[in-house]
Amino acid sequence: MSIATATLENWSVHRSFAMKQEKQVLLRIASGDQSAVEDCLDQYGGLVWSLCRRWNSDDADDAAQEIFVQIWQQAKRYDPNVASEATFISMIARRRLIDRSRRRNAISSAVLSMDSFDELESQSEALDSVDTADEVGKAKRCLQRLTEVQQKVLELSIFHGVSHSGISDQLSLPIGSVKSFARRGLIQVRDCMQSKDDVLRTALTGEGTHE
Amino acid sequence: MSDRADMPVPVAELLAGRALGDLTDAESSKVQSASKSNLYAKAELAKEAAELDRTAGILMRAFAEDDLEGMPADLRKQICDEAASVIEAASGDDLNTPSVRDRLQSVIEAREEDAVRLASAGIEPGGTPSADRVTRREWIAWASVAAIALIAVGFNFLKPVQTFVSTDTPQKLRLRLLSSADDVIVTQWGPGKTKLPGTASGDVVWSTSSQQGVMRFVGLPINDPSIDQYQLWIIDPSRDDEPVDGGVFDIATGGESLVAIDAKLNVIDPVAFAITIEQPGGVVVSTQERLPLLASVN
Repeated sequence: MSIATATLENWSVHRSFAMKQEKQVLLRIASGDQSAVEDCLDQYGGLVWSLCRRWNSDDADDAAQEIFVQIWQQAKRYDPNVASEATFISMIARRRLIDRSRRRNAISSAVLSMDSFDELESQSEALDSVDTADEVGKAKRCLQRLTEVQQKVLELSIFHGVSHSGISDQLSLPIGSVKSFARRGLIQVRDCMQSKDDVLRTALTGEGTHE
Repeated sequence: MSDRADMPVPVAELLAGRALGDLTDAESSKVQSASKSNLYAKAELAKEAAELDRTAGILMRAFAEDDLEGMPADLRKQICDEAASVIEAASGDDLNTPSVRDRLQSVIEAREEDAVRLASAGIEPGGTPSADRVTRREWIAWASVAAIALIAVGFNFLKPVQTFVSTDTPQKLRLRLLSSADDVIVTQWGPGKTKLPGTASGDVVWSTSSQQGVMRFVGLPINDPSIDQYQLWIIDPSRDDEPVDGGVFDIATGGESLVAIDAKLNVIDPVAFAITIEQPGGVVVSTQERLPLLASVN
């Protein structure tokens, strides 16, 4: 049996696997493919909408529209080598939601805007290549290594967009502790995720045998 | 191993605060100062900031995963309606668009059809009255191609449809294809029918118009070339039933490896990429007894 025949016979199985993977809509959008818009909304509309609703239900519509405009504009910057599509879109959503939150709360314009600080803008070229498979799974496992309080502080801050004072009230914690838990927790998760990737690489070094 | 020894904790925490969006005015000034200071390379700060942004983005997804809401239909329609103008503006006024390339391709195909018809009829251009008409059509086709080619030289969108050996490193080639190839295919490796020790992953980047591509592997086991080698197969039913040999390669180190694709024949429309393990030097036809990785094109 030729490789093509056998491979194609199995192709339907593997195709279903591939279909569960991302459809690389951002690269299609970057190339001007208008048909990718519907696919992008199918895959990521729920994620963006859910985030907007949690950060501010009053103007969630405006926020979602603003985020997708950014996505269309930034699609050409997407690098599958350093982040999955969902993470790239999540990062864009976060930036817009944080900026909107600052404007809404009339925080001083002197405060570092997520977009104004070009040198520290999250450029994909600043990031090392990583294995983007199972990003969320790794993040969840690393999150579980934090204390319950740290986990809760990160969830309220990152997912719900609650301010430090709001978290302080909810959890009856000093504001200073909230800030420390959130920042150190984020760093710990980042370090944990990177160390998992390093362990995988180390474990595979020197393997010289096949099946 | 990640080394954070050079990034003082206070700076790292400030950058974490930036990623979380909770910097005060004073803290923001400190971050600005740090970026202008000679103490820390801007690239290091940018990398730290980008990593923390990415981590926050992944955590956001992790928290949202089990609690997603569907977007309202009217909002979705509004976003769709607005998308066209934004995407068009973002892509710019660029001759290297599918519609232009389609027109070029149709001219090339017309030329090829005429050439085949002439050859099969044993007619040399200008030899008979009927050939005069064909010759003029062929001339028009060639002239059109030449005219477009002249424009293309300036705009650099006429790509050779033949095997091309790149002098770029695989890394540079990959980046170039991702950033400038309009027909780029990116597809992830999935498990084949042969189980590997550990978990291998990665992706394939391929451009049919330039006949160039790069495979990226993470965790593919190191092989001993004196015992066996990896071989790439490009499944392309538009060509014929037999897949195209994409080249033999070795994995010499653990971690990530980038390998340029060396297609032995012209690839028209790949539907899948497959990795087999073969004898040293590879084979002409694989028995696919050992097929550890497969990447399907959606």
